Amino acid sequence: MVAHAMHRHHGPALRAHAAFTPFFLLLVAFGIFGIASMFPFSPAPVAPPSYIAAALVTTFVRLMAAYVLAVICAIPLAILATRGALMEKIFLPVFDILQSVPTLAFFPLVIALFLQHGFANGAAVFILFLNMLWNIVFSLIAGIGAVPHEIFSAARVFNMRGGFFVRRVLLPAILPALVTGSLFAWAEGWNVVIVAEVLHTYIPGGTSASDLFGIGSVLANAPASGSGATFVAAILGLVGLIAVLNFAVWQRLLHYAETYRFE
Amino acid sequence: MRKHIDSNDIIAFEAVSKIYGTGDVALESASFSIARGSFTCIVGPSGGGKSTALKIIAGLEEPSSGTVMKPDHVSMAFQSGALMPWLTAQGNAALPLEARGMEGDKAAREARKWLRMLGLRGLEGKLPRELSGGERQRVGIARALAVNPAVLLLDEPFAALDPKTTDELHKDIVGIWRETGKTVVMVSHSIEEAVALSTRVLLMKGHAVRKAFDIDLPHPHRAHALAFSREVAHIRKEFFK
Repeated sequence: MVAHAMHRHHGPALRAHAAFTPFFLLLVAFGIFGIASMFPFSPAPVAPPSYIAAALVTTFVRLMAAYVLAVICAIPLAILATRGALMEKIFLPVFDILQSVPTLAFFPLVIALFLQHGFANGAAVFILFLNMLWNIVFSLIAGIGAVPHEIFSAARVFNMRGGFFVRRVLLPAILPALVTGSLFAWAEGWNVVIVAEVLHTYIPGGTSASDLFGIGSVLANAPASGSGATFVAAILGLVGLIAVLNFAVWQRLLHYAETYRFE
Repeated sequence: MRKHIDSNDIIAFEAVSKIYGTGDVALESASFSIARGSFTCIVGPSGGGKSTALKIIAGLEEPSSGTVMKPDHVSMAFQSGALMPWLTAQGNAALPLEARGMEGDKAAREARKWLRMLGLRGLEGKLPRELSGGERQRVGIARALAVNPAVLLLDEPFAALDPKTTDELHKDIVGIWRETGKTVVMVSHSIEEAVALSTRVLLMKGHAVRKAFDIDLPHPHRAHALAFSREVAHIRKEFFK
C-alpha cells in the first residue's frame, strides 16, 4: 500500500521522465550516427548482436564487482569519518585529497601489479572501484549527517548497539544516501569502462589483444578496425542497457528509498 | 537547592555539574531527588539545564562532577518522536525489545499491547508518515513503555502538538502513570502543563533546581480550578523572580 502511495505521489514526475526518454534516445541515436559517419567506411562486418550482448554483460559484471567492493569499503569508511568531531577532522581532508587524485594516475602501476599476477580483470575492477568509491563515501557521510540527532539518542537509550544498531538503525537510515551515491557511482563507472578495458595503451608494446573483452574495448576498437556499424551497435546497446537499468533499477530504488527518508 | 537522599528516591543528583568541551555550563552544582512512583515535571527557562538533567538521567550525557543515583533501566519519549520512518508503528515499538534479544513474534505482541493501551488500535501497521503528530508521539511513548522501564522520561513530548491532541495525550499519560505506577519525569516549557500532570514540579533556573513544588491536588488537577490556578501563579512568580 505504501509503495502504491509513493508511486502515485511520484507518478507525474515519472511520467514526464518517461515521455522525455524517447526524444533523448533519438537525440543520442542521431549523435551516434553523426559520429559514426566520421569514421572511414569499411566493409568490415558488423558484430552479431550476441557479441554485443556478451560484451555488455561482461562489462556489467565487472562494474557490479567494483560496485559491491565499493559499497563494502564505503560504509565503514563513512562510519569511521563521522564518529565524532576529531575523526571528521582527520578523515574528511584525507578523503578529499584521495578523491581528488585522478584515478587514471594509478592505472599504469595497477596494471603492472595485476598483470604480474596474471589478473588483468583485477586491474579494470580496481580502477572502476576507485571511481565508484568516493561518490558513495561522500554521499554516505552526508547521509549520516542528515540523520536527526534524536534517532541516535533513541538508539542509545534503547540499548541498540553494535551489529543490531548498524543493521536495524544505521543502514536503513542511510539507505537514501546509499542509493543516491550508488546512482552517481554507476554513472562514474560507465564513464571509465573504456579506459578500464583498453589495457594495451598502458602496456609497452601492447596490442588490442591485451585488452579485456567488454563493451568498453568493443567501443574503442571498432573504429580502429574500421567497423563503424559495430561501433553504432555497441553504443546503442550501451545506451539501451543504461536506460533499462535507470528505469528498472534506479528509479524504483529511488522511490523505495523515500520510505527511509526522515521528514 | 540541596536535598537529602531519601530511601524512596529513585533518582538523586548531588552537586552535579555539567560543563561542555566548549566551556558552556549546562548544570552547576544541581541537587534534587525524585521519588519512586512520582510524576515529576521539570520546568524552567531555555538554557536552564532541564534537558541536560534529563539526558544525564537517560545516560546520554555524563556529569562533569557530582554524584548521580539513577536506575539502569530508564527509557525516554522524545520531542520529535524519534521514530524510524521505515518501520511501522508496531515495528518501532518492538525495536527496543528486539534489541534486548526478545524474539520477533513476542516483541510484536508486546508492542501491540502498548500501542493499544495508547489508543492506537488499528494503526499498528501504519508508517510514521501516515500518522498524525499526536499518533506519532503515542507510538514514541508506547515504545518507551514497552521495555518496562523503572523510569519513563518525557522530553517535551507535547511541544509540537495542537491543544486538543495535547489534552487527549495528557489524559492518557496520567492514566498510564496511575495504572502502571511508574516513575515519570517530564521536561516542559509550560507551567500549566506541569501543574496539570505532575505530583511535583522542579523549577530549574541558572543551571540548577531553584525550588520544588509539591502539587497536592486530586486528578484531574485542572478540575480544581481555583487550587490549580493558585499553584500555577505560585510557580510563575518564582519562574519570573
